[in-house]
Amino acid sequence: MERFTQLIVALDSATRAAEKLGALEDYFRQTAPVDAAWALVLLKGDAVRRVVKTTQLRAWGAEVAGLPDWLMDECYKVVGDWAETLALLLPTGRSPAPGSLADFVRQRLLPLIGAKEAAQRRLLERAWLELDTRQCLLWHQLITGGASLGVSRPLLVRALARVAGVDPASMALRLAEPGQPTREDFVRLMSEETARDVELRPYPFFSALPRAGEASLEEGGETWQVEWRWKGLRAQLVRRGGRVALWSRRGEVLTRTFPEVAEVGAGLPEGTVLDGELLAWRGDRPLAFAQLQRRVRRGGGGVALRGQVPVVLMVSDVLESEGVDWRNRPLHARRAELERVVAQFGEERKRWPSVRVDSAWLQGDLFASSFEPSLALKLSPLLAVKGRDELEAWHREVRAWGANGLLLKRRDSLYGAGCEPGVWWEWEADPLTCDAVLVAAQTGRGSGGTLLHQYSFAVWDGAELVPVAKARCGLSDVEDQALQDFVLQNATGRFGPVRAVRPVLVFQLAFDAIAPSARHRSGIILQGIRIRTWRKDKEPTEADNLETLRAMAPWGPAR
Amino acid sequence: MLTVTDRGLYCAAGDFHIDPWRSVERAVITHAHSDHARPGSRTYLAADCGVPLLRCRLGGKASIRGLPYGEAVDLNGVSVSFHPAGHILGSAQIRMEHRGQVWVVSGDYKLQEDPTCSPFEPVRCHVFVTECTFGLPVYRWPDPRGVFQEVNAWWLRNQRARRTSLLLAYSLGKAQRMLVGVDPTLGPLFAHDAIRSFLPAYAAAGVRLPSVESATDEAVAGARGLGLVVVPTSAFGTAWPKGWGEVSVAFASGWMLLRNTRRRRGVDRGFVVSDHADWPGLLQAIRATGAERVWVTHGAASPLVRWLQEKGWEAEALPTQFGGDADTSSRECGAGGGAERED
Repeated sequence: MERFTQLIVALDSATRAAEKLGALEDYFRQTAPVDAAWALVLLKGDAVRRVVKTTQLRAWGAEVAGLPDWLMDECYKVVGDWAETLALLLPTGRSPAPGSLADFVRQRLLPLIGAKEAAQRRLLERAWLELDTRQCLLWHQLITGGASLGVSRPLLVRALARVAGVDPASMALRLAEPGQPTREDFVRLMSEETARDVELRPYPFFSALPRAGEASLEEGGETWQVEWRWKGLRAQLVRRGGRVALWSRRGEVLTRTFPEVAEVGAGLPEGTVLDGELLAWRGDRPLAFAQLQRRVRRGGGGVALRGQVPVVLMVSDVLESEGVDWRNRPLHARRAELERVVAQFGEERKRWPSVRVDSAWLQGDLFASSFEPSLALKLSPLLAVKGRDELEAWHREVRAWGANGLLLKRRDSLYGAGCEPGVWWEWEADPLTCDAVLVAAQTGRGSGGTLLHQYSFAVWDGAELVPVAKARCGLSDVEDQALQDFVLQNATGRFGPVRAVRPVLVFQLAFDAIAPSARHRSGIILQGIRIRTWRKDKEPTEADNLETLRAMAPWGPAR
Repeated sequence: MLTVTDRGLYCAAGDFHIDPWRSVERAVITHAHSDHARPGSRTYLAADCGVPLLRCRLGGKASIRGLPYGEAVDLNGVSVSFHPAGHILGSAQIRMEHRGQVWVVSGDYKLQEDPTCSPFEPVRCHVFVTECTFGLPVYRWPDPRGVFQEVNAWWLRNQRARRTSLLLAYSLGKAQRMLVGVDPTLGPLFAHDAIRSFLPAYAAAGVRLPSVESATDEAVAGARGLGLVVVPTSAFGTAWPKGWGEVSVAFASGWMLLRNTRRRRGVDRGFVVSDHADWPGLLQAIRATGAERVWVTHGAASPLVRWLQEKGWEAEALPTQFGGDADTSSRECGAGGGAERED
């Protein structure tokens, strides 16, 4: 337990990735497999769900510490999380508790799962007596299902790959498979590389370059294939050797994170690799990127989350079909093959009505609302473009379709690796902007209650200012400091962590989309909001109106 | 006895200010930190052993009178004496007695052991004016001996990895305490001149100091990968000379107890050493004075004030220099940028 605690402390205080890697490598080289197996489970972070509710932990901790609730809250405001607050407040053991990690997990952690409250409390109180402050913090984090213990999956993969002497891609694949925290499983994880590890590797991704000027489209619509660009997660779906792997562009294995897409892979013929974009999807449009991120965090989430945030793979290219590498064929040929594969998948699926799939779209057709909510495979639609005017029209309307730009690919292009200029272009939509007045600033949790964390902006609704957004990103350090000083000197009132300020400063905000919102007083919510510039040249009266903003919202159902 | 004016705490009966923020006629000073001892007043009264450090701060022309701990002087009928506060060398609490009422202003203090200064002595009084830099129960200091062992271990590990060890510490008090606390046999010790300028006063007061060289670019480069360099906190964020090689930066401060402050500072290590009392220290000190009325200042006072009130004391928060809001002063101390703020 103590060695694991030291590892966590080292990971927490390391500022450089190289230090974290070193700490992880040392730990896994020097620790017995039975303990290392449990360490891996805990570091992966998705196996031990919340065992004790934070409110419960807090209540019991307050009683043991003998402090009133208001004082606990004051402490929490300064510390920023309950696991740490309680670890600092509780009278803990003087020296670190001895014993192996495996013993600790079996005797202290596992019994907590599903135990009645009274039993949980007894177990906690005993643990508090034995553990020292640092171990206590770790303990709290584990049982409340809190922080990811300071290590990302890619880093963990690299460290283990080095210890085992295998390629990181192989280790990523091995880690993605379900395993038991046993000695045998860990030894297997550390074994030599085999063909089985290499079999499911993806191809290198080919990417588009940002459109650098007016170069494209001189050769007319026949040369270019135009599609929407989506903000999701780029991925390859690999089906080989009777198995399926879903790879992100950064080399992460997402097979178990998106089981609905893995199921699609299982339905594809042997020797197929498709390239596409993972998107959270409902109805006929994608959901906000933040929704997709909810699925990625903490390795997938439960059934409920999958229902709330269904995910699809919007495929745009085929890299391998029937075991043959298709990357050296031109795009128009690959597109035809892709349509064939998707259509065939749809045909086969019709025999199993539980998983339904849409059919290929015809070029140039507008969307019909014929999407079924349960499908996880979509074909990226092609946009009919004959000349520059049509292209620019599509570009202007990109948001109405839920996309964030256009992709232009030469029909004769091969599927390369990395980026090649002139072959694939991406053309991002212009961000929406508005001018808003700074009306309040808020301190964040865990900043000691003094650092301003978010700024609130408002626009005019008649003669009143109505808040429409909170943002912080976009300011330089110098500007941020100047703003913090301004707020402290011009505060007109204080409501808990929020300080109202005199509404005299105007900022230009950039955002990706507007959606209606019943929760907000303004009736709208701005998505992907960031501060673009400080408009020192504008008076507050020159800020935008709510009407102007509402007019920017596209037609569409409320989300 | 005391009121708060725009120049600081004022004793009307004795006609003197305590640690005034602006120039006054008569200033009685608790210790030589720059937010307590400011130049410009006509005369200064302080504890004897603090006078050399005060002179460094105030300059040669200032009129400073020193009084040994425990000895009283009469100022317009108010009996004034100094008592050790245990904060830094020469730090003192100020005891005032007038018409049977005893008030004590603690200045900054701590209850932990510290070989660089005389330890805190509780003084019985009716009203105790206490500092409150770390006025929350989460602040409980570890044993300084253990922390210095950690510092030594960090220094050794850095040497093995051929990294120069850089330790940031407030230049008066903390820095000297760190120099005295580390194991000088581990390697060469360096310090910025701002820190070294105070060392003669420490030596004169009888503190045993290791040999500390000036942290010039060349000197440290000569001991690159081996040395420990103590630098003032104003050096946060500066780029270190390339000649010093790979560098590991640590910060010695009570604020390092919390992970979020550690992260915000962006240092490689934080060592929890403070020259202020932690929560148990504050409560112990307040109880030991036997005071029934407590004024709380210099920190985020409201939690401590409320706690004291709930436990039966008459307590209130005193406004400080920083905008009348005790909370903002903690911003300066904990979260502020390059300016030197003590901790």
